[in-house]
Amino acid sequence: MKKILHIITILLFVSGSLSFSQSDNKLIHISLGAKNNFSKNDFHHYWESGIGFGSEFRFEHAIGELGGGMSIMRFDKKIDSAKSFYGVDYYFLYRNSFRLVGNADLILGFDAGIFEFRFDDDGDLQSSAEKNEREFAIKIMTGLSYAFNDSWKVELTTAYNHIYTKKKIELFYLNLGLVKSFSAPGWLKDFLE
Amino acid sequence: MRKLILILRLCFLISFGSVYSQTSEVIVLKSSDLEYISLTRLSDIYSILPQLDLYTTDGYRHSSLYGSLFNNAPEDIAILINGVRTNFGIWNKANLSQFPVHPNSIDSIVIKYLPTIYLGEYSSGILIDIITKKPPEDLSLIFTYATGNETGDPGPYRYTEYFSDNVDQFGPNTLVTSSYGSERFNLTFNFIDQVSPTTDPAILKRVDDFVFQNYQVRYSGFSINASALSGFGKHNLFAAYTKTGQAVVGFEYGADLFFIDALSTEIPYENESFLFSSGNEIQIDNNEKLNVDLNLSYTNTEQSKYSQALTFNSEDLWFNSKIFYKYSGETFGYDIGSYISYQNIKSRFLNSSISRNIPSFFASTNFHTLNNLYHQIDFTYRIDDNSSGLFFNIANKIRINKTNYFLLSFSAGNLFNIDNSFNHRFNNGLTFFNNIGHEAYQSNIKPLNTSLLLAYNYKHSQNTSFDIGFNLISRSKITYILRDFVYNETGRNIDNIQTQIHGSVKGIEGEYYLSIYNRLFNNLEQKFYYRYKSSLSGDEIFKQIVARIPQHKIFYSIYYSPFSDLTGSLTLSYSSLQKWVEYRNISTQDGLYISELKDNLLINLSITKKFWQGKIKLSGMINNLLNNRIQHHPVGGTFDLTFFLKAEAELESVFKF
Repeated sequence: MKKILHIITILLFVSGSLSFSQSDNKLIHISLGAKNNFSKNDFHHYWESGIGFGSEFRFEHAIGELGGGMSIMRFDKKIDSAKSFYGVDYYFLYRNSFRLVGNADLILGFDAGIFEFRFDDDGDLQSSAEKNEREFAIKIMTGLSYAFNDSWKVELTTAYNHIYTKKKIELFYLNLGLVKSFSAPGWLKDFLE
Repeated sequence: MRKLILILRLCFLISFGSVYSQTSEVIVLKSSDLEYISLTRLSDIYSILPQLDLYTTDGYRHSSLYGSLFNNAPEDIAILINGVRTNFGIWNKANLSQFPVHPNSIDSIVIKYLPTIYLGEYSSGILIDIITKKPPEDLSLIFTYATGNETGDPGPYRYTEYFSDNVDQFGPNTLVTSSYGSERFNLTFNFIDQVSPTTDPAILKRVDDFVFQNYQVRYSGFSINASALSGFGKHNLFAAYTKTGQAVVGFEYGADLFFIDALSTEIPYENESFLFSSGNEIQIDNNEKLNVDLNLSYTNTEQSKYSQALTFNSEDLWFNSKIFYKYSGETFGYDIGSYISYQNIKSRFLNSSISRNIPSFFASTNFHTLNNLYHQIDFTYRIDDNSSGLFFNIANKIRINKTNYFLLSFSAGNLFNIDNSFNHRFNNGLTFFNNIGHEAYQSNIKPLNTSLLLAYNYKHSQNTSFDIGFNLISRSKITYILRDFVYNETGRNIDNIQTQIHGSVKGIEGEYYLSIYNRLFNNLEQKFYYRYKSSLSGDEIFKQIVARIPQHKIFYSIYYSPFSDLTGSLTLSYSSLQKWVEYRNISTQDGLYISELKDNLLINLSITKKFWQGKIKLSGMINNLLNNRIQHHPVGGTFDLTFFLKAEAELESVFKF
């Protein structure tokens, strides 16, 4: 079922391009937000997550918004043999929004990138290679945004994160973010096209 | 006949509204194909070539399945550049991943996979001719950086009871190309640095005795490609230096690996190669040309400096010269030429060397007997090690009208690629692989192949075409060495516990294929390919060895560029069950080694966003999107979902002279 969901998401990404047109005024969006992991599964027998923070850079494209983002979240160990770590997520993103009512939009999105595990060094790590692990990860997200003036909006979203480790990790997040939008300067617009 | 054509038309309209792509005669990949799938190394083209039957143990080196199918008939991969042979490769195998040319500097790639004479070059296996682009005017630069990560690492579970080993990281692969272009002279310089992993559990399970420094292969290559127009005609020069083992950039060492089919294991080696290929086309008049090609290659291969179990050295020198005259008239043409190859193989440790001269002669003619009936006859004859072999092909094309044509082709011969395998060395006294248990086998009986091909092409429009074909290949006088590989848990290696020699093996293979090409819009292109292949008759052993070729292959690709700054591709490849008779007893409890490769579906996705009017490109590729078990050899690695990232800067005509 999840495989089908992945494919549908990708098809949505590809097919979405048929229904949007380029805008002359390219908008840039920069967001800052906080997130909380609310799921409970095998992973949470070993680690407990804290509040995470993230930032995204997005620019408008005819198919929606494209860009990249990074977030960091603390995971504290719950059993002695495990290691606490910071989860750093670097990703490319795609977002599309649909007007619901007034200034409120429905957001759909997809992220793909690398999830890095940065382990605490308690003095027992033999080499620097043992301090980090990286794995491919994807996210599917949806949520609401509300624009309270021309250049600022607030977003409340939820995301499903699949990290492709041998024992797979699945996390659900709730994100609250503030987004600043502005017109891209000419040089940046030229660069992005 | 009209009804048949009408039915075929309806079938195609219902399915895709489609047509042309690739015929059995030749496959041509365009630069746009390479751009859409976003290559990280040249061998990625194999993912869109379902016509080829290949295996790989590590995803980095690929060999023709036919190369090891009939042991005394070499049929592996040969690489040419701009129509000139390169002799690129180690012994009898060429690793396309390591060919030192930037994919962006390629105009097209011509692939022939049936026995053929191509520009006077005979190939019984897979022939790949890389045609380079004329570089942009003045000075241009391309910089490419790509890296990939196979999923399945332990992540944070490495410090729990769910510990597992790390899996493969690909790259980084770095390519730098600078070029100078003008009306009469062009020069391109390429530098390639590659890192490839050797961490797949299937490989480490059997090569534990060897020390893989850093668990990676390090490879660097430089090349210069020059072309010039003179008062005589066109001249091309390709010169390259490649190196594996100690990296040119950085200090890390990584031995390369060579998979020996007869032993079913890898040997770690390091090597240096020099290549020089020159093609010269002299225009005599409007209808007549004289081609003079020269090719020199030198390869020095020895054991990895960290490998204690092996001691060997092999210095291979090849010199080839080809001269041919070509006449092209309106209704009649012919070419005639000769080829001389010289090979010298030396081993410092044995303090001995062997050399041989291999002359060959070739001729072809083409003519019309009717306005719509075209014929081509090719012939070549070669003398190798005091034995001779010949091959000929007669092709007849009947053009029914502007949109329909039939091809009927017949070929026969007892000629195969020049034997450059270990057997050749052993049989001539260079026994430097004795200490790893390689057994020599010599057969003076030459196999005989005949092939009959019937193909139909329908070209609905420039945007739509389809091909359908039937191919029968009869093989006889094959000597087949059947091994029985098992995994030795104690010795942690693969042993051959029994060798049976089957003489005078014969049989017939049959193939049916359907290929559809459709360009639905200017920015959307799709291809479909289906092939059925099986042994139709013959000895039991023949049927068993042909069973390693998948009976069914289905391939579908879609290239889509919704905007000038955004491109993407999706490819689906299906292969049915493959049974490897040599590995009938190889299965291990951990499931790493299996005697039958189950049917599999591989889906790859690639998306590229261009920035700054295409000067900068960022690509993300996902191979094996469904994370299915993909394995191409019973003792080969498995390829899980892998994410690649590629960044590229392409600055055209940045400096004007």
